[in-house]
Amino acid sequence: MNPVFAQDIENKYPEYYYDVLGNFSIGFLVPEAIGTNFIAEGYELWNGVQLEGRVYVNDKVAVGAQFQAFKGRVVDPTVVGALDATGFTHGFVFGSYNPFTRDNNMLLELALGAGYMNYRNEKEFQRFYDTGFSLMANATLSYRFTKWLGVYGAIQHLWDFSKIATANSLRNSYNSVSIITPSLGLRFYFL
Amino acid sequence: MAIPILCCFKCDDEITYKENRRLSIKGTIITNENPETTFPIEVYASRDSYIHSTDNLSFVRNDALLGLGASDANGNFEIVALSPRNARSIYVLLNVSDSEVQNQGFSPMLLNNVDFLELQDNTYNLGLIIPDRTIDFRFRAERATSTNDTLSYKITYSPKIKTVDYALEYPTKPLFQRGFSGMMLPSQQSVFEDFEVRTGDLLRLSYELKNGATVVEGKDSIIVNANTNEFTFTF
Repeated sequence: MNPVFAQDIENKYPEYYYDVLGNFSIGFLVPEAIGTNFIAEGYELWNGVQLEGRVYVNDKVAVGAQFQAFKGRVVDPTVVGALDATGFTHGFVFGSYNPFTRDNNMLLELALGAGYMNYRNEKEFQRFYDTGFSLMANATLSYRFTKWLGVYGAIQHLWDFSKIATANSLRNSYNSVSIITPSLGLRFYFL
Repeated sequence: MAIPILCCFKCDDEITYKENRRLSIKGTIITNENPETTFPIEVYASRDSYIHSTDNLSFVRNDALLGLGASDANGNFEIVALSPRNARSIYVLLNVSDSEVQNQGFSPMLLNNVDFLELQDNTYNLGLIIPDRTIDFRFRAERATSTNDTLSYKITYSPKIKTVDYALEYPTKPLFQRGFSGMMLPSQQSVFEDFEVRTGDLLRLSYELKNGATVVEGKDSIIVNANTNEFTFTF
């Protein structure tokens, strides 16, 4: 019987997701508002940043928190009002599910989350805020290429339900906003 | 120590905005054209309680633009505007954009104290708005019988900007801010002056006829309409 060395085991069995307790990721996102709403019609959205952390409950399920921030310049004040720019931030708690067997270092995770939206409006030297509730659906594909480090690509759909009080005729445009936020970034694993 | 004092003074002077709120300013412009002329519309907030219109629009310089847009081919408009927190008045400028009159032939309009209207469903409804047309007007003085009289005359009329005020305590009155004066010597048979004026405006003519020690003074008023673009004063 040949002896089994620890080094041989390490080479034969790569470190899969179920080895890790969780991960933290940072990436840049490219937001795009869709549909008929005041952001889609009135803003040019700039690239932003996404921070996310998740903890694995088991090999299928994780829970986590996410923060997104990006900015937009007003290009059509007729639908937005006489603003200069707005900073858009979102925060979510979410649960994610891995529909496939973890048999390699690539992982697809589907997530649903709920949280807040905060629009920081800028007009000259004044700042004021629009706030509300937000939902998100996310699909993330990640690849872990070392013990500690991986990359990810994600596509996310945000539904913002703002508390902005306005006329009935404008309510559809203001109170329900859809934004797609594809993102790419680095993922750091903790064991 | 001076910095906080200056900062507070500045903050108090600037318009701030309500969170989670947008106003709608709507109305209909009627010019009896088909399709209706499209007018640019701007909504401002001011820390002053009353806006005194002048021809050079200098009053908008320190005020905060809340929203802007244009009327459509039916004359309707709905402007999305920020909701000011500390404004003393909200006013609308019509037919003016970037301090320039857009549709020549129509007067610019100042719709003052819009916030005195009832706010329903976050909307100020301005109703029907009728801009005045502007026409080139000629004042002519002709000598008929008074061969030795020297005529001195002065004509005053309202600003080019038509003002409508929604606050009852500020009834809109003719301002007679614009005007000119002239003289006609005994050697002259006639003189004339051309100027732009709003239809519906009231021109005030005051004159003095002098012949040696004899002086006759008088006044006259002229209502301008599209069919009367000339007034002849005969003496």
